[in-house]
Amino acid sequence: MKLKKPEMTINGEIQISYNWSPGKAGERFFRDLRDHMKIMGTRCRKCSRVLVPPRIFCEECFTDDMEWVEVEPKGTLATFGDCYFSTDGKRLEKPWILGIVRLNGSNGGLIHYIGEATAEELKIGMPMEIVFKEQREGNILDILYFRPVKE
Amino acid sequence: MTNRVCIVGIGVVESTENTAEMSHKDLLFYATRRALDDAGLERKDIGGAITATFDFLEGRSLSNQYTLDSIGGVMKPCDLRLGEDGIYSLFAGYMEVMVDPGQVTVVASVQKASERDPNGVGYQKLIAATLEPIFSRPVCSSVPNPGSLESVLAAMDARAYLNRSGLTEQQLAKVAAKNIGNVIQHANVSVPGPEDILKSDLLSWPIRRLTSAKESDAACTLILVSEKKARTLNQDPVFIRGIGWCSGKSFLASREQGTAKETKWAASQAYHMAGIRCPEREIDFAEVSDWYAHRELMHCEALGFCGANSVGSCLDEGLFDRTGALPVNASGGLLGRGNAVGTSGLIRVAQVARRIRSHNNGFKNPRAEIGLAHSWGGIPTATAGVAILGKW
Repeated sequence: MKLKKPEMTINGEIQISYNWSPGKAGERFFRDLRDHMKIMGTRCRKCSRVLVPPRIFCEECFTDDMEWVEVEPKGTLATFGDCYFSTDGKRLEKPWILGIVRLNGSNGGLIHYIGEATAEELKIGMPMEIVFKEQREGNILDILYFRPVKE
Repeated sequence: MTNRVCIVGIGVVESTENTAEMSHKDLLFYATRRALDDAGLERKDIGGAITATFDFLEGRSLSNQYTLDSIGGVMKPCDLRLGEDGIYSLFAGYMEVMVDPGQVTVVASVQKASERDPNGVGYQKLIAATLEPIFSRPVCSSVPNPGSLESVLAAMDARAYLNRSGLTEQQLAKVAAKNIGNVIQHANVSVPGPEDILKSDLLSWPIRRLTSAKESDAACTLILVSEKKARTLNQDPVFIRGIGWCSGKSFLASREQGTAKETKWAASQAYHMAGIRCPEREIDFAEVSDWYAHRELMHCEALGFCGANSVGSCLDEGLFDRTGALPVNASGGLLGRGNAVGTSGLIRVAQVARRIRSHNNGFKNPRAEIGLAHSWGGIPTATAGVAILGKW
């Protein structure tokens, strides 16, 4: 149903900036990502789950008894969604795909772009790998995208 | 339970009325005035006032400070505000009445989506802003055309569910046709079939324009009292027999994709409280979040409506149709009526309560004594609330 427009409106907006702390675990994750292209996770010493992204506490065991482990930059595709059209129905020049990849040996996952593949070529459960950015700055966009592992 | 909590007043304003002429405060005032009239009560009778919705969506920080006078709550002993879907005001109101059975509690929610930026990018920015800000948000807020973010995230959810369940795009179209048809049937206009749904714009496979609910304006107010207090009023009470709510992991990518575990858990709490063991037999009808067509099926499954059968076969056999054994979204649901995000959950409760009272014109279900209302927080949340209402 089409909403009628009111005759008079008062315009306004709210803009606020924030500086979020990634916490100790986030700092270590982004530093190793930036400086060594390494993906670090934290393992709960109680339940052995490896958390990526890392946290200094395990939300299941509710303990901070954690240790750092390196995780390989490969995983499996948990799901994905593609965007080939703009909201007004025009075909995009540069389609994009977002996906969730669960890194091997870890519990959790990362949401990121999927590259070097079309939606038709992707399948849930297929092996994926990280493509790192060349000039890294210490944030999640230091990962450029995930791509299917080439045979 | 000797002194149960019941609904004695229902007031709803939806987009079928001219909401453009009403301010955010007016909408809530009319919903509350109707609820008070329905219960035969006045502002002086109100003992507590609770609102629930999302400040960011309303564009008003601490928005309860702006809505309190619209629900008759100024200078009352209770002004509680919950930053959650409207159904949570029912949960808080229930507890309020349990604590003070002599009290009349107003629970309310309002959403005026039409006030947000007209090209819709603002809502997508809010979706991105709902994501965890360190690992997920920088990616999701950097997408080339932010207007498509919600559809892509919903598509990720739907794709994982179809992959797990074996359901097809045609079955999603069937859900949308059913719910849109449930509204149109009231109006005697031709009903779109699943094939028409599949012709609607593809936003991000399998999400289409007509398999995702359009945003709408709405306000809803319910009046809650104890059973003892209800005996002093003229309105037929509708009893709240069970409530349950739950949230999954806060980090979207950490959750098991394509599942609605929080709904399952919320329902198990509500069923336990209501003494329901076989929901597929004991629930007569339900209003379930169909924000996207696949979510209706995911939720029906999580609510235990299918027993040992698959949700696909239940759908195909017409179990969830208006005339089926367990009608789901006979009101038209969010797909048919529009989705007032943050308020729709309380509206589902109002729809269930109305049908139990048989105030829902033209709808006669011989067995509409126990109804279930369900709400889901939407992408990218994992929040669900369930309320079970009964005639007795």
